[in-house]
Amino acid sequence: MIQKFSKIAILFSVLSMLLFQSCHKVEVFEDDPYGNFDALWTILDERYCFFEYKSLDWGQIRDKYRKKLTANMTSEELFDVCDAMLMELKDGHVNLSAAHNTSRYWEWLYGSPENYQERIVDEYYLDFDYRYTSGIKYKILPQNVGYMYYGSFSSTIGEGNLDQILAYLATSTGLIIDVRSNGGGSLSNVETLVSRFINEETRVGYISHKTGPGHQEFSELYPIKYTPSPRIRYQKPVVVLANRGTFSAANNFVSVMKALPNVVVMGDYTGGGSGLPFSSELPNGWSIRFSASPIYDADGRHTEFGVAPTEGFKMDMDLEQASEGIDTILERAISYIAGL
Amino acid sequence: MSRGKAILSILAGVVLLAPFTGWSRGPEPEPLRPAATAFTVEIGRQSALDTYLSPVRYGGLSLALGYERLRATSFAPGQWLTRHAVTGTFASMTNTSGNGSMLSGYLDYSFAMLRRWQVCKGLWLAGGGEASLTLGGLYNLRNSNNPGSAKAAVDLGVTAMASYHFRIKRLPVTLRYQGSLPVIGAFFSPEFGQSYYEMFYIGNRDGMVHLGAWHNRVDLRNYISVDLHLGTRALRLGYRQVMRTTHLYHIDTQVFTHAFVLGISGEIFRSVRPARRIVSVYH
Repeated sequence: MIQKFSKIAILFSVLSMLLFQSCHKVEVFEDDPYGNFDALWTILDERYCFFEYKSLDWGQIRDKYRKKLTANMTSEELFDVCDAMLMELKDGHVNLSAAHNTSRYWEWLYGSPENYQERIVDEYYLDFDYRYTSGIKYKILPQNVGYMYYGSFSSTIGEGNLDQILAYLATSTGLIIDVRSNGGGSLSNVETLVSRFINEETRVGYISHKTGPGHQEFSELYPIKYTPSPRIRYQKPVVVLANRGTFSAANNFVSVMKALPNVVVMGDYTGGGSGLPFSSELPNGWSIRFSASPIYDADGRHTEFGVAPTEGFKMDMDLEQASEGIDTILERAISYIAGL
Repeated sequence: MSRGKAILSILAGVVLLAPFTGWSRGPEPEPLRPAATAFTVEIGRQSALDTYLSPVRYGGLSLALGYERLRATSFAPGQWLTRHAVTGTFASMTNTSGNGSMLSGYLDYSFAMLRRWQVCKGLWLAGGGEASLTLGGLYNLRNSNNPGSAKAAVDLGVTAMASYHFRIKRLPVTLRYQGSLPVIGAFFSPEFGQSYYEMFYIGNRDGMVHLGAWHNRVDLRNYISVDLHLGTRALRLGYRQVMRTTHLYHIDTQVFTHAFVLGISGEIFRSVRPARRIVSVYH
């Protein structure tokens, strides 16, 4: 009897050893300049979603910047090398955060006209007298044109607040939704807002995700559908104002609204940023954010580099007139609605 | 009365009175099956690696509350016993550089049925099957759209137990080991780069539940306890080791917990009928 149990015990022990061995070995990087660089490069190599779309040779980029490492370099010097490598991605959603600095790619923004000056709108169009709720400024302009400025999709839009806004603007002949310099935020706020401008279930885009570490390993496009809100919905013409500062969730909002009937997008190209960002980290504790899951427009196209205004409505703000308190983009939107 | 009639009368009396005198050869009275229960507090260390969240391993303090109930079965009580176990575990961890935090929480329930054999006086070995349910997850406090990694699994597996009941001078002591190894089941996992936004907000829930076996999921639980019987209750001291690993879609999860166990255990008698036989899971 005891022999029988001994055999069972030995079998169980061997089995346990095998199982411990079956734990998959995870690559561990050292906390030194080379280890941290390699960890950063590998995280992006496996998880970044736009290598193919941007035709980037990530291996070549690694070789280019790894040469700049030295074993004794300071943390700030390492950060600068990593920062320079990340700029090659040309992605506003890529940020490396260390205790002393955060890397960011904003060239798309700095290389373009600003096309929005908050003070002009507040002083000359809203007369510093407007309603404000859920991060939205709103007013009916003298031409009976509704105006709402939403500066960040991080500001949660309450359904009750939105009811109040749309009820107030109901008598206007059309609505201007100004999302210029809106740097994004939560995609759930995009749906909350868009659902007030659709009357049937609408496919507003697609989402995909990486299924493996290869640069081409992606899932099939999965449709994103919005359903109309059962609450107050706006039925009149809408103009969406955008500039290069319209980024991320705001970029998504513009791409969705542009596909709707009765909506015109006016101003400049949006800033893009269509990859849903994920986070990870390096052995030294630096945090890295990167585009991980691409979101496409209703036609299945990338909007990573921005959404164009509706044809015929691309324009920049006239800075000479701006100096006199005139926002020419907003002026055109008012005229467009007033002239309908 | 003739001699024959007298004998018949005595036999009839014996037959009629037998049920009331215990002379019957009818079914044996059901033995008492006290439930051996234990409430435990567990404190130790957890280390967690989940590459969906971070390639860096986190570690920190783990706290758990546990409840366990063992009882001989109503059928063949001398040979079979059942075990229910519930454990709630919470851990707060940091990364090696100390600037990132991760929380973990797990709720584990298992039901096992074991066949037991007495090897020698005081020593029992048992083995059997176990069904278990795990719910929980890891939450990284500084991640953006991948802050959490939910864990859910149902499993069927094998379990083994050995207990040795002895005395140190006048103090009864029960030394027990039990190990559990899930063999097959189902568990939840996102795909490699799939966001919870896509799964639960957009609604792309295809392929979230996977068949779990040793090629993609290995869990192992070991538990050693010593019960020092102090009257009707016992002080339990022990050590619990829990290993949870998955490897699917190039996502690796490895969560290891080592904890010191402190608790109160004892056998609960629902009724006291000293005349009955007692089938204890301890001895």
